[in-house]
Amino acid sequence: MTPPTTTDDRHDAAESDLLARLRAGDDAAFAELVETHAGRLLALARRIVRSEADAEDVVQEAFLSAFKALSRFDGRSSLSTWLHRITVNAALMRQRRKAARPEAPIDTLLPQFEDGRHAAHPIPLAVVTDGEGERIERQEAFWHAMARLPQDFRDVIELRDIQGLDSKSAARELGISDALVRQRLHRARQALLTLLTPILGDSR
Amino acid sequence: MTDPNDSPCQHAPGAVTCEECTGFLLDYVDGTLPAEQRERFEAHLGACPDCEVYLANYREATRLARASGRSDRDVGPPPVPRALVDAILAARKRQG
Ligand SMILES: [Zn+2]
Repeated sequence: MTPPTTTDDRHDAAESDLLARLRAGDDAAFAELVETHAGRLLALARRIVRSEADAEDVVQEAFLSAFKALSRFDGRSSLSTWLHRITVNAALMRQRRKAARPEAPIDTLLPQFEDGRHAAHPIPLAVVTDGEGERIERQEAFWHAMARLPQDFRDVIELRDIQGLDSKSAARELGISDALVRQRLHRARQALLTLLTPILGDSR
Repeated sequence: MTDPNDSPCQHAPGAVTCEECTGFLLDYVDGTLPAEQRERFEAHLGACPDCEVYLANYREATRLARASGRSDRDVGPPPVPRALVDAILAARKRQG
């Protein structure tokens, strides 16, 4: 194994080279971009939209919006992080459209307090077992909940929890402060909980 | 890291409300909550089943999100249908 910095540097160089060719409209560069990322993005889309035809449509839509936005991609994050986020947004938008489930305002999804105490007793989420069926059910519940979060809040969950970036990198990617990433992340996790409780709550 | 609104309150030492407790969650799970606040948080947690459940749920929501990202990081990318790649590249040409 080469040390991570060397790998990163080489990766960065390869990526800025690819980006330059994409911006120059080089057909081979576009083919390379799609061939490199489509598999991972298709797997991601499949987990969110569940039907193969929809998943393929989502990946195509995501690439087309990425092509259009290439001039605005500023290399703050990697192409891979950027494409991942575009795909999640495309998939969730489709899911939302199909299920006619609009985004909910964040304030309506936060826990309520009375005199500083929880206004309602929080219901424990069901304990995970290792069954495949359960795993899929939980993933579905998660993506349904994600679809209802406002985009700003979805983005921080996407970058920090799903893609595993730290707050600083997520802040750079979104062009907001580190403190705002943390504030949104905290509210987003609470809102997710509110949305997950009716599906995964133990008292169902 | 600490929100200025969360400055240590002046009333009874250790008396943290559920609402304040909830405000500490992110720093607490990240391990960045200052020791003094952590102690008050944990004291409340030990005495408040609601907040105990809420903390467990908060962790679970985070775990779920992480799990949904892991599947594509760990298991390499699946093969892509050639037809999809071609369709995307052809659509780009039409997009102009
Ligand atoms: Zn409490």
